[in-house]
Amino acid sequence: MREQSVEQQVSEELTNYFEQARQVKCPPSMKQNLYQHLGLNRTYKWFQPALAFSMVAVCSLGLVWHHQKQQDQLEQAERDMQIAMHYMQKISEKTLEDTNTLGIKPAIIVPVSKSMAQI
Amino acid sequence: MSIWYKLQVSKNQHGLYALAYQMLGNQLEAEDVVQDAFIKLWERREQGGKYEKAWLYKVTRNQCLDILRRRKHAYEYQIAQVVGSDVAPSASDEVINDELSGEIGKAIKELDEPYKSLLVMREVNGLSYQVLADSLDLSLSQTKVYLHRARKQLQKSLEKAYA
Repeated sequence: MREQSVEQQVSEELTNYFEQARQVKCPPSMKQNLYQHLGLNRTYKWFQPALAFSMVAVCSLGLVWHHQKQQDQLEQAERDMQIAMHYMQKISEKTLEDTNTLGIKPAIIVPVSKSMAQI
Repeated sequence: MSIWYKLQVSKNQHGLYALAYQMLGNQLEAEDVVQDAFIKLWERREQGGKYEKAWLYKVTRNQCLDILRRRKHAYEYQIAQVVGSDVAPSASDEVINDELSGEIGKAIKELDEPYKSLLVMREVNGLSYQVLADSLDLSLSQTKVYLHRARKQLQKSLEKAYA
């Protein structure tokens, strides 16, 4: 009877022991060290090409924007120049007599002020 | 190729670790042994083969046996050093690095080879008889006989301990 109970106890304990032993897991550090050792952890993640593409896109957009801004500034300067030329033309059309009769203000200062205001 | 390799690592790492841990009783050593086995697998990755599992267990077991042999030599060397001196080797020297405790751990540790490996690989890793036979270079019938003897031996030593 006692022999049978010892046998049963041993059997139960062995079952428990092996059950616990099966639960043992290899630490993740083993895998990490292994892949590092073999150079297998150079993972090309999906976002890396996306990131590079975004960088190129941002740089290109920046260049386009800069170019466009310069173009706008040039066009604006051209328009300003045209306005200034228009009023300069008007001033040059005034005769000396006009200046003498009406004074310097309506003859020169007013067109120049208008030109400046337009610019 | 690296996908195949990573699959092998994921599939076998826990089983190999359990085997190495049961054989060596030390987590760090078990981790090193498993890592070495996978490095060897990487070196022969071009060869492939359908017995990868058996091969991995064989390499792991052999490495564990090497470590146990080295440990034994180191212990014998220690004994030889203290013979004649007043300092007696402590009990802890023998169980150095051994984290497995309890009657069962001790009884498994005391099993002879290939009984110990076979028992652990069958009971802990749940390997089939065929994989066991391939791992230990035994025939199928030899594997079954040895496994039966291993169980008997373990049962006997535990019954003695519990009696």
